[in-house]
Amino acid sequence: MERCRAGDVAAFNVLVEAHQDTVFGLCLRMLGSTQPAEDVTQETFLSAYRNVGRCRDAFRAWLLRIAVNACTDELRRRRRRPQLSLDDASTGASQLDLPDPSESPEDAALRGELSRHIQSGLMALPLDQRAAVVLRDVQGLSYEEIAQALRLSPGTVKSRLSRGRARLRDLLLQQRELLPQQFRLTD
Amino acid sequence: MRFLGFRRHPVDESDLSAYVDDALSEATRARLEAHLRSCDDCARKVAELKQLVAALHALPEAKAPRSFALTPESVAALSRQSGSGLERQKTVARRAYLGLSGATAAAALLLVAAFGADLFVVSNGGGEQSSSLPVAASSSDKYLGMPQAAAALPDATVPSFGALQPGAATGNAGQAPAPPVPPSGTAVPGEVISPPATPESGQAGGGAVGSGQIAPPPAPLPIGTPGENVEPPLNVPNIAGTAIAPTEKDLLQANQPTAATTSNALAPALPTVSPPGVATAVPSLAKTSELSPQAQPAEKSASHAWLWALEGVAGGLFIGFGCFAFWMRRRWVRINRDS
Repeated sequence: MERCRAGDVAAFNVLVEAHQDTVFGLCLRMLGSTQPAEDVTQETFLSAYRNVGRCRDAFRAWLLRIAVNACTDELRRRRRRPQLSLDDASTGASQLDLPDPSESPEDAALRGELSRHIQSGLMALPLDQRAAVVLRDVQGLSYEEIAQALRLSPGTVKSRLSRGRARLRDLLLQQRELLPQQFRLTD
Repeated sequence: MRFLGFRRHPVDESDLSAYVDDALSEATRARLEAHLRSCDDCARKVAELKQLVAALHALPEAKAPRSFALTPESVAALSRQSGSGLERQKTVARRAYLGLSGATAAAALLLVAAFGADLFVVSNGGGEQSSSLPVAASSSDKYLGMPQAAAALPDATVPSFGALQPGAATGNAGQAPAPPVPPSGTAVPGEVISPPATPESGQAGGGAVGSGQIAPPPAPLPIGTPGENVEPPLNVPNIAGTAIAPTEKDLLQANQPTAATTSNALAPALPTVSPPGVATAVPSLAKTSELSPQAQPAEKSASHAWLWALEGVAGGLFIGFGCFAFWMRRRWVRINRDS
């Protein structure tokens, strides 16, 4: 960290390598498609490099906060030009099926379909709830770390997460006939 | 557990969600588990939440499709950009915000001053004092940093242009209370606006003014009728004129020390006249009392219109500057957010 603060690019790149999967995963789930997620990830690391001297919190939480903010900005930009977001959404969902070579083709198909539904559910959540759900349930952060990353109190994280999950559940239940049997929520 | 359509639960939904994450305190968790054994509704919800979390967790893990390590080129581009663009944006936004808050505060101050002066006029309208004069006094006082000056002279708040003007018009410095005044006198709180300061002289002059009669000046003076003083000609220095000028400037130069001196700076430039809006320590009671009877009638309605205009302008500026400052602050915060 000290070397990063002094502007050592090599030292900073060690941190980049350590965290780029997390940051990219967050951006991908927040934004819903690959290309913007890549751009925002790059933007996040550039911004982090520029401001690393002012990082006071734990590095990962701080970095994720920058990423969440960058995603928010990206989505706000996108709302101003809606035709772009339609393109992204139509191609984006299929890009999310990142096949795991160890799976059988059937499993992969199921997983792909399920993940597409979940992703569209995530995209329907309000931004603050989406960020909480993604950080907790996709990235596996603790409540404390989420609170740090979003600059919220742990109590707020708890209620935001709860509301996000409840809403996501409702969204998925609405379309549960579309889901493969084994992934259906409660019959 | 339905009762009259309401669900009565000792636990709320967010506790269920936290329970799935095993993020509850020991006591809460024990209570919740006891509740779950008796409440099918909640048990079902917990099961759903667990399924949902499992499904989210089962999402294919995203791998960064490429390395995002910074290259020397991107770092170089970054330093160019931040040197010219972002840093300057930050400074500009910050300065604009600070300046606008200052302007907002100044407008608020002006609004309060004008409103106070208005109240003062209304409450003293039928009294023995000239109604238009305290306006000039109080507004100039406030902006000279002497808010208590008007109060310090409760009875003698007759910084009458009348008293000053004859001296100005005749060009006879000897009649004006100028000599005892330090010409560059900056606004010292202890000093008092306007010469006619002895209580008896103030009352004498105020009485004449309040009665609305034109008190003939003891000496024939080549000056317009006193009633004109509300809209003074530019070349005739009087309190009203000088009091207005600095307040208008103050709008834009709030909180700056130069504001206090602008009116003073005018004083020496005016030949033969006592520093018009500027305080004099009133050392020469004899001289001022000689002058004080030369008061002029109050133009109540004119001063009222004047005040209303001032209040309107101040209110408009306050709202305008305030909104602008708010917007600029949001911009500034956004620029700085990631740091």
